[in-house]
Amino acid sequence: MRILVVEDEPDLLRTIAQVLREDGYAVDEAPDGQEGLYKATSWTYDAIVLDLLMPKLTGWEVLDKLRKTHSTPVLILTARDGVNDRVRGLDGGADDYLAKPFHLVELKARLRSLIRRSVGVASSQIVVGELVVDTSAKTVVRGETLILLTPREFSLLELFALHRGEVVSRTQIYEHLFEETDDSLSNLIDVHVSNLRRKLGKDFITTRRGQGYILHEGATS
Amino acid sequence: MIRSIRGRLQWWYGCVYALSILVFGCMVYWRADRDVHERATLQAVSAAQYLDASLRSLPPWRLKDGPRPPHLPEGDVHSFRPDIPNGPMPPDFEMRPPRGDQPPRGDQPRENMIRLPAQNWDLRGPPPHAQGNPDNPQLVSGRPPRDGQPAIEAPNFRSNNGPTNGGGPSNPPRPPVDRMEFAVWRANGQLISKSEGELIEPFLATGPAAFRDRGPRISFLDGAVRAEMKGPFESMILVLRPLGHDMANLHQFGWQIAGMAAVTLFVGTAGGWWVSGRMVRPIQEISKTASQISVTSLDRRIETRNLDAELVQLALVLNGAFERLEESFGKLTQFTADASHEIRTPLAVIQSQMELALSQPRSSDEYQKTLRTCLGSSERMRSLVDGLLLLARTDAERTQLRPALIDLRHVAEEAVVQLQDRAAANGVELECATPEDAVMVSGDATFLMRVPANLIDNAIQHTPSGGKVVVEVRCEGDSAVLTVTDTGSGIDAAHVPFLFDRFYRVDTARSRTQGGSGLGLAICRSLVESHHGTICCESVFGEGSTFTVRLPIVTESAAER
Repeated sequence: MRILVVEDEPDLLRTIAQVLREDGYAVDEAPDGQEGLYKATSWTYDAIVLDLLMPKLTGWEVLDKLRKTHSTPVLILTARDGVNDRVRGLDGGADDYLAKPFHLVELKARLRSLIRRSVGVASSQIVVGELVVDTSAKTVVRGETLILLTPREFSLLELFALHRGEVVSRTQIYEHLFEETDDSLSNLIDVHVSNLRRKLGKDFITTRRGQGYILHEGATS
Repeated sequence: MIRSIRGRLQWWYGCVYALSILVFGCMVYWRADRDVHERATLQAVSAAQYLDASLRSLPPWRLKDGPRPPHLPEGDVHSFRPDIPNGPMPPDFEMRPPRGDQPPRGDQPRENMIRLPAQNWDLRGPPPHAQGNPDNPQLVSGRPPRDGQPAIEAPNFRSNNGPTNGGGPSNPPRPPVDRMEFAVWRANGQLISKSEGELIEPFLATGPAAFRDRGPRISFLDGAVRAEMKGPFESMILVLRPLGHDMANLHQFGWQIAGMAAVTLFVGTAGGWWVSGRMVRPIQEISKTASQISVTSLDRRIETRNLDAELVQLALVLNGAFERLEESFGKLTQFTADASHEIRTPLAVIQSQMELALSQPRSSDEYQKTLRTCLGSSERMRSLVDGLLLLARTDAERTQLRPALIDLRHVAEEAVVQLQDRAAANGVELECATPEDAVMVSGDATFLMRVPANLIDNAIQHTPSGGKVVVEVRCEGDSAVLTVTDTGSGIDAAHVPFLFDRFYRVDTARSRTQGGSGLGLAICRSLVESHHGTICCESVFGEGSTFTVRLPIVTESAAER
């Protein structure tokens, strides 16, 4: 899952980015509104964390311009906690609103919920056949056995699970799993996919040549 | 006391109205009363004159003691004195026997007694029998009146026949009127004639009063007017004009006036109450609107379109007050929002850093980094809180500064020394130009010190490496001037008016790490104003800015005092 954080307070930007990275997200950072808008319209993000009072472009302006072309989920994270500001933000196209100071766990939970809802999943637990993927606890359970995955592998599985029954292209995987600073070697995905197959079962993920990968709804190992 | 405008208006209006009605009614009543008495007097006098004229037409021997002169015809009134000086006599004016039951027979007068007149004379018109002869009204008095001399009309004496209409049955009944009573005496006090009636009785007993001039003399009795005059041959004429009916009418008129006054007063006061209600209603509406304007509806205003000129003034004043209130309320809200934003941001950094550090075991390097970040954030919060407190203090204690005489040169030099390191670190040249003479101002050194310090700090921040910041102190007339000039980026003219507002940021592109709390210039202004000075900024975009502080100079003579 790839998230863009637009925040003009450098310490806070660094902290949020680090927290989200530790949680397995790919995180892009933007120190002001202009760069934030550029990145938001250039890449596909699963969610955007947006500050309101920023140099160059305010959060409201970014939101306004972004909403003309993109429907990426946006969480506004700001020190302005007045009711009018909340209403203005939500009406301006934001999907959620969080006032500073905030708890990191709440921020993470809200982001998970945003990403889940954007692909039409209501619960944090996604059931794929015998497999239960818990996006909140970051665990995968088959029956009663806990399967251990690396964060990258979990992110890949989460992506497949969220889009189960659909073909997920390699570009899509790149866009959702790697940050802008990552070296995207082409065989990195293949390595992760084969690791997943090894841990979950050989037929779990089917390769569609020239198209990408697909996780079937009722897939069994 | 009555506390409402409407009530007071009503009270005064009612009082004035009642008073004027009272005065008016009294005047009308007094006038009517005078009319009654004047008319009665006139009637009494003319009756007396009539009697006088009548007596003059009698043969003189009738008015004197003694027998009738044999050469004179008996009872021929008109042949004896054909021209009666005061006008014509009524046609049926005759001498009659004292008890007038008999038909008129002028040839049989009783010795020494005259009877006046037999008919019911009314002053208001011709005698009733004359009304039946409209073709020849002159016949009423028998003879045409002389030119230029008013005819004496027959007075309305109380007759023996009582009130008769004397005419046809078609005549309307006359209202009751007062009939005059009279008595005539010879000079020796012998009664010649008298009318019927009770009023005259007491005078009959006393006889004619001592009377010197010819009269007529008027006196007012209780309920009557008395007219006395001397007739021919020193005979005495007394006429009483009773006022009974007239006074009754007058009293009735008085009651009518009083009733009408009461009605008018009531109608007028009620109308006044209604009018004052109409006048007061717009005021009530204004106060209603004003009372409805609260924090949430500060943008509402009083409607002035349908108001009268005086109230428009009031409404405009109120609206102006609301406008200022809204403006300052908006500023306050903005300030609170800004302040909370500025405080929350470092708080958010600290909290998230702590949470992050505690979420899993970290290396000591990472902990150190976290603690450093937190320290930086708390430093920022401290400076912000310091600034806010300072502002609050200068706001609240503007008069509680402890002013002393300070040399502005020392203040500037000290600030330059303090910031020299920072300037050097930024590659900015910092210069200080001061005059040789002391520039004394009155102020609190610790507070005043912050002004040049803040200004220089600002200038260094906005001047790129290699630039120059010059601090200058000089005297200009009555003011001590301190200027801080930089060769920095300059400020867009659009921002200059708001520069000294709290939390106003000129350059939104400037990252927050670079910027201060956003309070520096606001603090400068607050401090300078608390020292009775002014601060202003001139700037050319792209070339640099000059901040000028002017403080009132303290001359040595003033300082000695």
